[in-house]
Amino acid sequence: MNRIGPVVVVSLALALQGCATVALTLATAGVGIGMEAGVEHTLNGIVYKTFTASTNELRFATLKSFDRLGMPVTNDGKSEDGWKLTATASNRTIDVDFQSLTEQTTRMRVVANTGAIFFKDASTATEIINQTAQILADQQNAAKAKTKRKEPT
Amino acid sequence: MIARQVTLVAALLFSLASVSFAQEAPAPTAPAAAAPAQTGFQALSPGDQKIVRALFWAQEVTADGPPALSLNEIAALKDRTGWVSAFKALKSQGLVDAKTLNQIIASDAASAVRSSGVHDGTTLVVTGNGKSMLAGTELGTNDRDSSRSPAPNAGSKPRAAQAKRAPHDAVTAANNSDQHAAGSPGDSSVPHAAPTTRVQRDSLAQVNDALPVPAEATIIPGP
Repeated sequence: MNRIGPVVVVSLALALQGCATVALTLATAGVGIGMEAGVEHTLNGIVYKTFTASTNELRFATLKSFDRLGMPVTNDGKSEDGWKLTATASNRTIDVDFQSLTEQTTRMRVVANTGAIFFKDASTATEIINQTAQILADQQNAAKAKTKRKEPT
Repeated sequence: MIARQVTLVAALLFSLASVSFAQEAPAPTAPAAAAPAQTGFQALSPGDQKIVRALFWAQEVTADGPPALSLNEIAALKDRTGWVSAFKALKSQGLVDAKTLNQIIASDAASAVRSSGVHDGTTLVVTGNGKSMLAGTELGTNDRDSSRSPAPNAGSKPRAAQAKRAPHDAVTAANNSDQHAAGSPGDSSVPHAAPTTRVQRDSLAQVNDALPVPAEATIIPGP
């Protein structure tokens, strides 16, 4: 019996190596260099971010992101919660859902499926959110500048 | 004793197998059974894609305004008159603020020059009636063969050329009566320009015959 204990411990340690990697990834997800602040990752590779923008503005920014990334859009329509977009890339299907929280707050959910059910491409999903955030900021800055130009001096 | 050893070996084998399974790279998935036929925006010629992309990026959306049109939706707006109908549709919905299609094309080219120094070797020329053609490349087959309706001043002497030599997409053109009025034949500020090395001389000559000088066109003096 004394010999079984260490074997069980070693076996469990070997069996749970992958879980340790996952835990480490989650722990460092929010502090990586270049990582967009406020991007939420889940264990299964789904990425979320809440934007201060309407669904209409966020959808347009996401369409621009897909164009910039060279991902053709295959589906673009309303959903129960707000709006849903689908794009494609190499062996990937990217699903984007917009959930309207308020008129000016929208939560974006990105899933990059890599063919199988359980395999997600979280890095691509994160990049889509980062690009969308950048384009959205540019849109809002341009709108502010335009408003200023129209104001009488 | 033998049973215990068998148990230990089985436990070790199980643990090693589980690790190898966890670290196994996912098998490459087979590509889609058949590549879907390209439709919408993807089915357009490169020149038309540039116009659609310029229209798409020129849209301005608001929180309570109409939703922006996607690339595929804009691509579907083209009719026999060219892209002017697409521009008018966007304009009527309040999605674009520009006064003419040429303004959008020109500003898109300028932004492309700013954002990227890469040139794909094509020069897109768009007329005021929405016809487009590519010069300087073999890709420009979309409208080269199309018969062009003569411009209002087609019978007059061609007064200038417009050829924008840009490090990226050189996009010029216009056929706007207002702009035409701005550049009268006696206007010495509009010199005759020689075609650039990038633009095929034949194609540019065709453009020169039909197009007046747009107000915002970049005039490049000859060598």
